[in-house]
Amino acid sequence: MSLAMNTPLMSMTIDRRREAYRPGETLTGEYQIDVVKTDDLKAVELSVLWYTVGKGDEDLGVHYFERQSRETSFGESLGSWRRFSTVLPASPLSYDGMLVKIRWCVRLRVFLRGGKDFSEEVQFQLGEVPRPTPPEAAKAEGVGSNVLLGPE
Amino acid sequence: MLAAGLIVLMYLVNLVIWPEWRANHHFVEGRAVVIGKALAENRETDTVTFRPDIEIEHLSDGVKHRAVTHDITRIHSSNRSDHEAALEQFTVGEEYPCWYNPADPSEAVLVRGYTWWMWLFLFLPAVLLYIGGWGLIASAFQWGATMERRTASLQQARLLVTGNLTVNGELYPAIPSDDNITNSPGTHLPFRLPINVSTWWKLFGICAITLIWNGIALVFAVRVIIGYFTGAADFWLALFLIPFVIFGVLLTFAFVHELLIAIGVGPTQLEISAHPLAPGEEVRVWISQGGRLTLNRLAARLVCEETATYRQGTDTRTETRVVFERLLWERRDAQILDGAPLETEFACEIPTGSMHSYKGQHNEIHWRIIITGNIPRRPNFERSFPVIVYPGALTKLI
Amino acid sequence: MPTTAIHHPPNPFATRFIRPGAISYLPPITTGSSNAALPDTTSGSTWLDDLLARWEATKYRGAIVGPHGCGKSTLLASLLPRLATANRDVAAVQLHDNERTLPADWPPPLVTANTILVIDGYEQLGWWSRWCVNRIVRRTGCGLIVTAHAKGWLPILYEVLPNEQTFRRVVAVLVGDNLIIPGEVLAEAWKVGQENIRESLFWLYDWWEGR
Repeated sequence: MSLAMNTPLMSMTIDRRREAYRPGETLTGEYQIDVVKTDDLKAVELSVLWYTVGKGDEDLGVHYFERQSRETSFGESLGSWRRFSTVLPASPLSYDGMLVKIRWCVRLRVFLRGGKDFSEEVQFQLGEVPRPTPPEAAKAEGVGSNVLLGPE
Repeated sequence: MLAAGLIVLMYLVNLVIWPEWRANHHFVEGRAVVIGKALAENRETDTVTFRPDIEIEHLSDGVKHRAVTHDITRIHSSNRSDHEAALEQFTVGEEYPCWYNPADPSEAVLVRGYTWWMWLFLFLPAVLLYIGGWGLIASAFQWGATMERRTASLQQARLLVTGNLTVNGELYPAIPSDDNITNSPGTHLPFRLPINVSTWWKLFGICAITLIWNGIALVFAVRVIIGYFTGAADFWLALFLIPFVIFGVLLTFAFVHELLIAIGVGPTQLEISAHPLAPGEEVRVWISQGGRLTLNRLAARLVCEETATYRQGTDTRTETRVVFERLLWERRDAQILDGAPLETEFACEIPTGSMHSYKGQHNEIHWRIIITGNIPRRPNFERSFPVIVYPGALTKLI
Repeated sequence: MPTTAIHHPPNPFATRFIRPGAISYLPPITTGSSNAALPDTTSGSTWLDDLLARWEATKYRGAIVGPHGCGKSTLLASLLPRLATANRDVAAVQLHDNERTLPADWPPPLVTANTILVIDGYEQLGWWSRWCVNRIVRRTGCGLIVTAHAKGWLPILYEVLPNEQTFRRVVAVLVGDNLIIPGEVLAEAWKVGQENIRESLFWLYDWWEGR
């Protein structure tokens, strides 16, 4: 949550955040924007997306996107909690690799008149892919699944 | 591209389309007497072009008007016989229907209609406008847009065009397509996998580079040698040539290395019982290794690699790391005879919980089956067959 | 329960944290160095103010020079917001490896004396593209800031000299107060990177993953 002069107070929660979501499940949550007048608000964007982190440049994919603006009307009062939900896809799954990691998150962006924008992000897990153990480390530790097997 | 399309379109509209449309819809019908006719020639360019010029006189609101005309476009072309035929249709002194501009009766024509072949040229500016227009719209729409919004718009456009968010359909975003893998049926198992890089193309590439490099180095080397024997030795040229000659020799060794692999090692074929693969599922793999060679060891292993590319300034670094490796099959001290390839079949299982294949603009997670051969006193060879792994049974859609 | 992705703390040396713009440029602390381009900061103004003043003195043309991975693009990223707030139009382009010509849509069609052209990777351009840029600058009187590996015809705005002290400060910013990386690890990273801060940070990425 952000708390500062002239800074919107954004709150966001994801249901069941501590558990890993499975593909096809419905991700639900809610968000609220406070300490800002509707007249000062230019747009609000909510996206469910994934991005890569690691040694390469960032890849990004947006699964769900909604935008409310002054032109399209903000609907009910911003101070009230707004629900969102989306059915999660089969891929890409969250992954914590060596060079490439894939992270899923819900990102909320608030754009104010005057050009400033603020964002909040809550991560969640899609799938349960364990962290890989590189072959060298697997040999040293005697880890089962990644050890080179003998001939059949 | 948008500008080019607009310019071409404006030119065509101004030259042909708008005048023909006006003549066909706005001109008023009258009667004209042919006063004279001639085949006009245009010699401004290297090619002589022609057009029919017919002088007419017609009445409009009781006022006589004269004009030299035939059709509204008045375009010259090289087809002389067509224009002569057009002139033959009109006799001097005879009266014919004509159509004139009521706002300017001196603008009149004897024939109307549409130059159908000129309208085909509209295809070019239409293409340019389409491509350029989309680019402009995309740019305008994306100006000031966040990365999430731009990406969502791009994905939505792809959805509108293809009906799917990804090439694979909407079920598996970010997983590369397996079309190129499943389009080749096998003879023993359902699918024959394509090899990653064709041996012959690699050999051709190295051969071409070797020939070109050594050819150039040889020209200068010959000059140095001739100079030495004629008493006009060029020491500095000889010194300058040394690293080039060394590199040329290394290239030659590389070429010979690849050549030995290519002619000694026959084709490697790999077929698989099912594709794509999924964690926890076992498939059968059949391989065939041809050629005429004795092998210390022939092995097949399953490998998963991560590849990350980073571009910053003049630096582009791509790094690949193996995150999983498993030996699937091996045979030691194998003898392969010409016309009798070594064939075998074995099981391959992607471990439960493994990460699926992933392909992004800068990062990849890819799986391969690699066949490696160790040949005594000769270079080893390696043949790589990419496979696609989808999210597994545990992560199937609910 | 398998170890899940979100439970691992992020690697502070991932590219999203070290790329230009992700962290602010850290100018050398020591004053009175032999770097002739180092601005005088004794007047009470900020270091960036002095840099911009120097740029103004060179008629709004200048180059930021330095070897690979020393922080030129990071410095440029820190400078761009200051240029934009100075009520000028900024048209920036970043050239990558083997990009010898400018993009088709750059510079923008309307370049005026109020425009600042920014080229990251100027030395990549072929002679024709450079001539085109220089012609635009001469004709319109617009500003020009470039990054390059070596000195050229443009006055040097600032010369970035990588040093181990700056590298250690960058690492401290990236890892924050929660972790102290052993000095010998930092020394090894600096040695492996061969005075290329980016390469040293990539080495630390691997070290972090393997610890």
